[in-house]
Amino acid sequence: QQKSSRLETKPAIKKSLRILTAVIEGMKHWSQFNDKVPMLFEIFATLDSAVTVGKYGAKNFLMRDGKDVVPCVYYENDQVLPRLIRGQVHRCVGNYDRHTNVLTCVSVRPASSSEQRNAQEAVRTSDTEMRNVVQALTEM
Amino acid sequence: MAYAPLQNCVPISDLSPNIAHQNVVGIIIAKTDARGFPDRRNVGTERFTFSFTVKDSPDHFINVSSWGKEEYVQGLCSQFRIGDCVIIENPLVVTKDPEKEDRFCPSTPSFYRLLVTETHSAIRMCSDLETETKLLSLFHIPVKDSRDFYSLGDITANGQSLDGHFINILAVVRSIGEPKYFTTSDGRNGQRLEIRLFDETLTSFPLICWDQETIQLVQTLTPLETVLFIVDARINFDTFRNSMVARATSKTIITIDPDTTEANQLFSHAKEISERGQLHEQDAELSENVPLESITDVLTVKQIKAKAQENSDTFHGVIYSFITTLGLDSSISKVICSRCAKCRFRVSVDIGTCTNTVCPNQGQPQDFTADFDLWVDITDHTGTLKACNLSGTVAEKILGCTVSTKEPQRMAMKWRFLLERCKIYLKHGHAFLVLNSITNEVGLLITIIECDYYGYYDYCDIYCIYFHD
Repeated sequence: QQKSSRLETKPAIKKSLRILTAVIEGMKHWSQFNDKVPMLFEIFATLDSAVTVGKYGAKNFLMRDGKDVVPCVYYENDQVLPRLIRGQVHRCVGNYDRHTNVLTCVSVRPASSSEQRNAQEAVRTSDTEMRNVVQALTEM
Repeated sequence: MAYAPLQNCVPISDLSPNIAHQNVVGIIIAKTDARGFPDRRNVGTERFTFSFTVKDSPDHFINVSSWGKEEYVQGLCSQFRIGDCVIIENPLVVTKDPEKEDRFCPSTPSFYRLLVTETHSAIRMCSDLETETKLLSLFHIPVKDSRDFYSLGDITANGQSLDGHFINILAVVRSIGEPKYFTTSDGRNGQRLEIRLFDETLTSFPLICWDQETIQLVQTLTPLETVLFIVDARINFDTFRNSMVARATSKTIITIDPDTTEANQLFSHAKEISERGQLHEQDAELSENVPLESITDVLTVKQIKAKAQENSDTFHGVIYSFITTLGLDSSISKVICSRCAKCRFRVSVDIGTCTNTVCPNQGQPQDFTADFDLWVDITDHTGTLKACNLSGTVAEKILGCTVSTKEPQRMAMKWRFLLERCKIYLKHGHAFLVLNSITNEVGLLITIIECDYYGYYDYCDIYCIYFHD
């Protein structure tokens, strides 16, 4: 009985949240499908500004990889923003808004060396997955 | 069957091939089924045989076998069982071939074995009460040193290096399965019965019995009470289950409720556990012990969903993913549940008593303990597994805190995992979860069994395998 009820339910795979590891350019590209595929991004990039305090206590900073730059904002919740060092590689996880071109981060910290080593692989995998998803979307 | 007086009885230790007409009196501690073999001398016919082991003192026991026509062997074999006291009249005392003998029979300290023949020998029940009483006490003395055993935990810890070995086990019967009947490829009828054992180190370990004789013996045992000393059980790695199993073979001698210090200690442990009803919960939560190192399937969220769709069987897997929901700081009722202190069944504190129908404490005044019971979302690049269960001691171990840890500390703990890549061992298919109506969109029943925070490990190798799928 348990089996049959499980078979009746169709998977809603495409609607569930994904976390994509991406370079900044890739993040900007994939975010156009945000309405159809809920997604958060994980980026590994270099801090390229001072951390400044904006409205409502927001922490603002710039992240860069190659020639691509993205403005980031972090609102401190129960977790305060750790000390970030300009020129070092950091890991940011957050939601990218293509209309305002801002990455709203929910987790920011220095990237470990093994993470940096593996980042390229992870980006490649996420890109492959997303290409397949987008292709399926356009076929529908 | 005639009952014979005790005449010309020779102790097993004094048997000799040179003396005529010796009788042996002893208690049967092991016995095989009667089975047929094609007769090489008379093609087309079968010769039958069965064997058993008798003991007449704490240190001496001997193998007895009989060969002959089907009617004779089947008839003789059906006349007595393990635990009976018998007199073997005028058997042939044969010197053991040390290489051949102990391969398919229990290893005995005797230099000889006994042959029972239709024309010369007989086996009768022992009728002498005094002798019988003396022999019965031997029945509970293991045939090997009482400290010479593996704990179940040791067996799984040694893993495949024990594959094919014969070892001794001291454990308590946890449950007795149903016998399964089948026909072998050569047309013989076979049967198989699986019992589950437990001890202080492991809550469940399978012992498989094939012989009708052994099956009848173990079916009389009382789960959660009977202690077994199993001498020369064969240990194998079961590729289907991906775990170690023990088998009772023709070499195996099972001593029921052994009269040893170690067995008494284990019995007290079993009593304590069954009084607390702890095994009931584990029955629901852990239908088997799957060692973490045996879980090697690396899967993505998408693959897990697909796998769960195509069959409803339980499966295990490893996923490298982010934890996107970890409600450690949500309202207390969503983080911690109450369980009956006796049987660990999930209960509502408002009802005031345990609602588990098999709980020994049912109807008694409330006695509850608190336990973690969290719903966790797991996300990777292919999607999210919603509402995966993280509970009990697994949750305490992963989070590194207990339910009594104060809430603000728990909140801080959440960030060690939240949005970090974790290596998560999980299990799909869980009777326990079906009781909770909360399941995610595919009707997945995912339970987290272990979770390592990535940062502590150099995950390079497996990570790369994963991303080359």
